[in-house]
Amino acid sequence: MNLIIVSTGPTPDLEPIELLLALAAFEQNPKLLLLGPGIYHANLLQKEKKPQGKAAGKVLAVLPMYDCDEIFVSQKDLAQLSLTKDDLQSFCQVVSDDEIKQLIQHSKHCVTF
Amino acid sequence: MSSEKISYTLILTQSPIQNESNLTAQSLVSALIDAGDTIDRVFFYQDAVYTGLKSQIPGQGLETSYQGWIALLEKQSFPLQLCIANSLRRGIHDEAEANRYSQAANLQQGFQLSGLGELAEACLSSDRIIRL
Repeated sequence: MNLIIVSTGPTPDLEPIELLLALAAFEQNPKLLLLGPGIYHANLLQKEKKPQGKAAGKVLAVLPMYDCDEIFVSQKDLAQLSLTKDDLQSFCQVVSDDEIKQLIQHSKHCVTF
Repeated sequence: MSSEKISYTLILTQSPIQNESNLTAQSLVSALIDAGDTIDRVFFYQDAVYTGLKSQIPGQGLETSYQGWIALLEKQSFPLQLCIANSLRRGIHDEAEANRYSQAANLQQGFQLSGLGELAEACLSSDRIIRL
């Protein structure tokens, strides 16, 4: 299992998410962990960052079609951003620091952005 | 200490102009090669693709960001792969893409444009992946 960790907010071109999609397309079973401003990728209110661009939330919404629906969000960071689980894509899982530690320990590779 | 040799893929994501990660990666690769380890590939993603831009003109007495990589290829042969989508977005083309989009090729020799499938392959084949 490969874990993509995104701790930076959405950009006009969602290049970290493109990597996740590529790994999913190659049946690598990637998982996504969103930390800090990276959580905005899963925020339903996020708009596209450039004309004719794609909103991060809409891109994440297609991930289950690639059997990539394990998206984890730091509980602590979510609270710090004054967001709740209801503000996120429905399939996101809110996880504690201990669960994040377990996720990282059980991943073959972790790639951070 | 174990003498088992390890294979590595390095992923670079930061601009070689604004960050020192490009030079750090070169030092790391050099040390790994000296230790007898294998570099499977170095993959340049996001702004790191500027490393392979041929038309760089550095300040007087300074090196381009790709020269160190070309020198390392003399120690061990490994692919220097730029994400093709990220490169095209930033105006970096090899001969094939330059012809396709009627642009001038500006990819430094020794580098190649590659799809993200190469990175997926790296996740399967390399013992370690390091992102700098």
